[in-house]
Amino acid sequence: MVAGVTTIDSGAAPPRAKRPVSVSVVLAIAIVAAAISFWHAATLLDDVGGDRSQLAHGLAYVGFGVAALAVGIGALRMRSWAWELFMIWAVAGLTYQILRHFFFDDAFYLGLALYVVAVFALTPRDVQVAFGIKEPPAAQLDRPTRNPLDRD
Amino acid sequence: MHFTSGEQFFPMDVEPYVDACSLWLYHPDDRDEQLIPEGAMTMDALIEPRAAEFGSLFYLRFIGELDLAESTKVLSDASRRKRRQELRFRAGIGRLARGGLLPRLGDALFSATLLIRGRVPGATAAAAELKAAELREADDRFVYHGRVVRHGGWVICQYWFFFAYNNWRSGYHGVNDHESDWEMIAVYLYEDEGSLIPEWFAYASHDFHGADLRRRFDDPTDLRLEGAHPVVFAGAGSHASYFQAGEYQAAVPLPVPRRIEGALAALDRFWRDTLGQGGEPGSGLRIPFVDFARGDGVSVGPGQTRAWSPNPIDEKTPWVNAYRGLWGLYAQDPIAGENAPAGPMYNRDGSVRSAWFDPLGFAELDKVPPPPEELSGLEKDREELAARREELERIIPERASALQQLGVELLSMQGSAHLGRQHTELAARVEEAATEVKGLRRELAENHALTEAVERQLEAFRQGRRIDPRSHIRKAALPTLLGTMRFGRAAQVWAALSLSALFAGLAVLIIVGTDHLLAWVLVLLLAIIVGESFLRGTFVRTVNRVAVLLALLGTAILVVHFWEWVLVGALLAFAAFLVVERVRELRA
Repeated sequence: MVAGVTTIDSGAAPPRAKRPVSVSVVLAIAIVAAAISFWHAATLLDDVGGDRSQLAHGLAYVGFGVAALAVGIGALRMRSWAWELFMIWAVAGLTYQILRHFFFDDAFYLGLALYVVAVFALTPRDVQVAFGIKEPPAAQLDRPTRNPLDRD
Repeated sequence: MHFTSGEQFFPMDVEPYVDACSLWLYHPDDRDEQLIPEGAMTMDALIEPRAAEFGSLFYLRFIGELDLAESTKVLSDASRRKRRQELRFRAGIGRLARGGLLPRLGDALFSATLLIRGRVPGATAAAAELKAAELREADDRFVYHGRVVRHGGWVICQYWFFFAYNNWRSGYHGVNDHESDWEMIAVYLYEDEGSLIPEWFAYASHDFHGADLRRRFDDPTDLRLEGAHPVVFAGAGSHASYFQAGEYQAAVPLPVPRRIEGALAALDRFWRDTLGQGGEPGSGLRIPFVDFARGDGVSVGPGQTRAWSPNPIDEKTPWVNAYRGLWGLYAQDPIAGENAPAGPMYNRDGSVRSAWFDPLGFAELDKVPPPPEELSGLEKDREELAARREELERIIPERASALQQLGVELLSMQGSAHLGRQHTELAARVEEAATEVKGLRRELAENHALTEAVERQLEAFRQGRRIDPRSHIRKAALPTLLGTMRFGRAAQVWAALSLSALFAGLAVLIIVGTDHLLAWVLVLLLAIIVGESFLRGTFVRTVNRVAVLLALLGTAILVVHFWEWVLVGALLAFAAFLVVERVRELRA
């Protein structure tokens, strides 16, 4: 090899997709959601007694917590199913909070804001490309430029 | 020419059609006057000169008004006739299943516009089928009206096809119906050593125009030749001409008032560009229609079961030249889709068709020389470029030097307060001269690039290589690949019933009188959208779109509900940003 010359190894593994910042947002939301679910579950299951309904509720919260953790881990590993699962979760959550706002006046606005942030964070094309949901776009050369070297 | 199985109307001579019509005059005061009744019409009567006031319109009428009993009878007779036919039409994959819920809503609105727009009456198509069949029994020739003209070194053969009726809407769920139909294909030939050689073929494919209409003789993808004859696949009912057999999905924009067009376009841009959602521009407002050009029906032409009968026409042909009216019912449709067309030479308003007076421009061939002239054209181009280059190389240094001289003069005026007016004038001259020099330098650079391209083309031409036969095509008419549409029976049934289910669901909610009607409407709408996406295999994309819409609504709620906090947050964020920027500047 000639000193100072970089060679390209054609057999090298393809570069890994860069993890977008929004993944951290999703991860944080998922961890918070999982923690809240487990805390609810613990509260309910601690004192079940013979109440089957309370037991079912507690187990449902355990399920939510596990699902939230799965979404967080999946997002961290940039799995497409995590993106899809989170979007479904966001649709359900947003619908629930919006209905609560309009018809029951007791929306959980922090939750609503988190869903909004997460949806907008996960929607840009580059994020979807990183998650394998969309294909990378073709080159677009006709965009206006601000560089005077490229202008008439 | 290959038709789709079940086609009811075929290219015919105009004379029997005209003989079977009545002639009418539409007056500007919205009055229709019958000039010649059915049975008394002749070709001579058609071309008779007639005075008419501004705003009036002559038109033929193939089918007269039908009362209820007549309508019932023709519908029943036409249905019975179709059942007896060997070649029948089957729609296959439903049109509605090819688009989403929004296009289907648009389709419902489009159908509703037919109630308020002028339209060809319902039973007319059935009556036209029966009448055209009668005419065909009397004269079963398949006729084209051929015209030959010479323009710009080309010999152009135009083949005009006349059909008694266009039943795309009533027969094949298409966009429109109208009495009479004119279609055209053109062959562009050049002369070489006394022979005529076909080079380009242009078909009048609906929704396409200009260069997209033509294919070169050596086009490897689209053009199909049988011997030296181009093959045309005619759309069922629409009679549009296509290069390939198949089903063409035409997306027709929903007619919207001009005033809201701009707002809808802005919304469309926000949705696609700002929010990064996919889809063709304006696709949400387009209604999918299918033009079936399967080519599995009657075939006409050399080597086919039926042969052509040519009928030559030109500017001097009396019915071509002297009759400027419509060739069928004037349905008073403001967007013209249901009005009959005028003849081959004229537009509906009586002006001459551009396809008639400019057959080269019709297919954007006006800038393309015939191959024998291409070489001399290129050589002439190269000479002109070289001459201009020499001129530029001479004048640019002169002008640049003059510009510098002016610049020096302008500088010398600095500090002389009494020369203010002269300085302003000279500054304007300097600006003008600088623009000119820049333009000349750009032209010289472009001249070099152009010369290289012409040289390359000349070299390729001398070696017998030609440019890609498809390089002129911007958008080609391509049939839908049916294999890519994996709609199950459930999706098709759902496509047909979904809107009705939505409206019925709304009605039920109103009857039940639930406390939170709007909430339930939202839930119903979401359920229908998500259910639809499951059936169409677009669940992920749809969920993302719904999430974005809900997030937009959520943002609006948060902004309205916490506007003070939002304002405070924005101000604090801006203040922090400024502090960071200034501190960075101070530390630099």
